[in-house]
Amino acid sequence: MSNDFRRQIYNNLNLKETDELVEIWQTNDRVEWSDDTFGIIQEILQERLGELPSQNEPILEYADDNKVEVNKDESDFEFLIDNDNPPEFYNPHEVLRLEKWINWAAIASVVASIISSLLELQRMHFTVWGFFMNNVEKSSIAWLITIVIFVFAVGLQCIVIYFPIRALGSILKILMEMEFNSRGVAKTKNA
Amino acid sequence: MTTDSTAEDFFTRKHARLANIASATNTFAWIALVFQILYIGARFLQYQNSYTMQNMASGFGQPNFMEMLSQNPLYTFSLVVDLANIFLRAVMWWLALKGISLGLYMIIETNLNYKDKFEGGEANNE
Repeated sequence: MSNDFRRQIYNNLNLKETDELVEIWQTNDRVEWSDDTFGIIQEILQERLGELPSQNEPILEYADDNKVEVNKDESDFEFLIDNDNPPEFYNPHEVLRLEKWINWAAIASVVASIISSLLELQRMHFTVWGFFMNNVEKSSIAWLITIVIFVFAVGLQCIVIYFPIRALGSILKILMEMEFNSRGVAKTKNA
Repeated sequence: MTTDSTAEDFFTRKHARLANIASATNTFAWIALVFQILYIGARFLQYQNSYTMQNMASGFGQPNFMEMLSQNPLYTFSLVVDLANIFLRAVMWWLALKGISLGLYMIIETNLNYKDKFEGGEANNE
């Protein structure tokens, strides 16, 4: 781990309350937190408390049920939204709603793109067939080439449409998670 | 005076500029949505006018636009797909601009939260 990166993690962890760090330390979840992070937490706790609290057995992997729970928690922010202490500049419910709509819009865009391309398939076939001088015997080859071009073109179009839209949704969620972390909302709710 | 200056130090000009951009983006999202929806109407009228012009050129006795639509399901389908594409584009613009606006607000909020924590921490240390 580079010194800059270590310092950055140190600064971030140093912002957390002692109780929160003690909880992480005692839970000893080595899946969620790296060994280096535990080293930094140890350093901070020693500075703040003088001595280290006892630790549980390290969690090196989740049981299947726990894994599902963690994924559910990560994807579901609803339980983290603190209506008593809302952010001033935005509404977290609006972000979640927008993220859901963005996901639907991404799928709708792909479907619309495929349908509108299908409507152009006949015209595309005529263009390709034109290269064969509209020879009737070559019509099936023209269709084959048309379908190959169509699949590649539509596939590429779908990728270009779908992924940036999904990325926007994910970025919004990540930004909200960062904002929650900066307020220490997760800690408050877990406590 | 002191309070104003402290508030100004906390919510800096950079934050204000970002908040203004976020607010403008939010407004533009609605403007873009309204314009695109109006464009759907304009596009429909364009189809209708183009059909009427063709009719005038080819002679009388042709069905009117709405009758023609009911008699040509494939043409109607392609028209609906075209209009739906414009609507979808409008929605995409709206979602993207709203997303950018919310994202900027969240960045401001995050930055102010950290600033608050850092300054609070420094004050406690002092």
